[in-house]
Amino acid sequence: MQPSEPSFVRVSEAVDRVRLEAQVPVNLGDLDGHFPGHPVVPGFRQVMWTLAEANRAFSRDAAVTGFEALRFPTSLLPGAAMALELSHGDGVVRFSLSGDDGVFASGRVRLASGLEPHAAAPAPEVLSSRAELRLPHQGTMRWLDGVVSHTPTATTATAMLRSDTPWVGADGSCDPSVVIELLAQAMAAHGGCAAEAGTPPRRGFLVSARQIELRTPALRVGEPLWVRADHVRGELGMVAFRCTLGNGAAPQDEPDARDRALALGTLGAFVEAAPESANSPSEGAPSRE
Amino acid sequence: MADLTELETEIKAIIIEALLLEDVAVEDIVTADPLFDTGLGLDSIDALELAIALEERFGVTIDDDPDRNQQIFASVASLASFVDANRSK
Repeated sequence: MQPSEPSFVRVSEAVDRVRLEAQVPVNLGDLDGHFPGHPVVPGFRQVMWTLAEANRAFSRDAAVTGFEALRFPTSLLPGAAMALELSHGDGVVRFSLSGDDGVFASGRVRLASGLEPHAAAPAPEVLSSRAELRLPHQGTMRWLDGVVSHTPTATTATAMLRSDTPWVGADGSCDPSVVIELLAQAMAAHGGCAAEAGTPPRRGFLVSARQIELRTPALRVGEPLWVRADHVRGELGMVAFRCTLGNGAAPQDEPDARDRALALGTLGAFVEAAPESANSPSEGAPSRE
Repeated sequence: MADLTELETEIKAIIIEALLLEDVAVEDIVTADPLFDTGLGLDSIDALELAIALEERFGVTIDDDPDRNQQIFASVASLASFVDANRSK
């Protein structure tokens, strides 16, 4: 069965506002790697659909410069019906993707013109004594290659985006939403390095990103990158990291990473207590019940 | 008991800033009202964002203890008491 993408149908529209509906294809590509045996639509794919539909509805020509108030309260599963509401004004696209189970994704996309492409740079040096990269992500959803450095509070890994995926355009530029997943995989890399040796990597589900800043209009397929996660709070359940990604030499420390980042933001995730369990992000979260 | 009015107002501003609430002003948040489910209607994701902001601003440590956090995050008043007793900046 060939992978397919959802087809959004416009059900209502007004000036600067549109509502669309679609179903997540059961054969949506790349879900077998996110995660093996437990397919969940990654948050960045939901944002990617939002950007595509916003382009179509509002014919914008500005670049994405940031994501704000991103929230992913409910896991989106293959086959689910979803409604996408978009509105546009003052250089911001607001979106909400929801269905019978609740809100899958919501947030704002900041748009502006004048963002300059970044310069190419050689691959970050990977140290020979590097820690093992352990990720729950597999197949086309495994974007990191190796660990550059790991301490109890921070992990840097190398990354590369490959072709033959829906998020790489014909000109080799990647959809802006991929930075969300790259930053999320930096958190996963830290979790894998910090976990006890021999245990399978725990799955984490992205639940929030208050603000992600983009400093380039697009990452390019095949270019070598580094990603870094600095621990903010939590080990299991709700966790948060300050994440950065960039190119060229691996960052010396967090200020260096933030200074040279092509994208950065603080991300929240829900990390399963045990790799076997299949809690959704909205279940078992702290400080609520 | 210390007057925490100033701290409560600052915490209200932090809530709005941390959660990027667009249509809520400091005056709209009632100090004693529940923050979760009813009241402002915050959820566990908001609690995470709020914990990040409070830890950064006040140097407090908020552990992953659901029962304790339910008390701390009950209202602006309870948050202010917790911050006042535990702040390091």
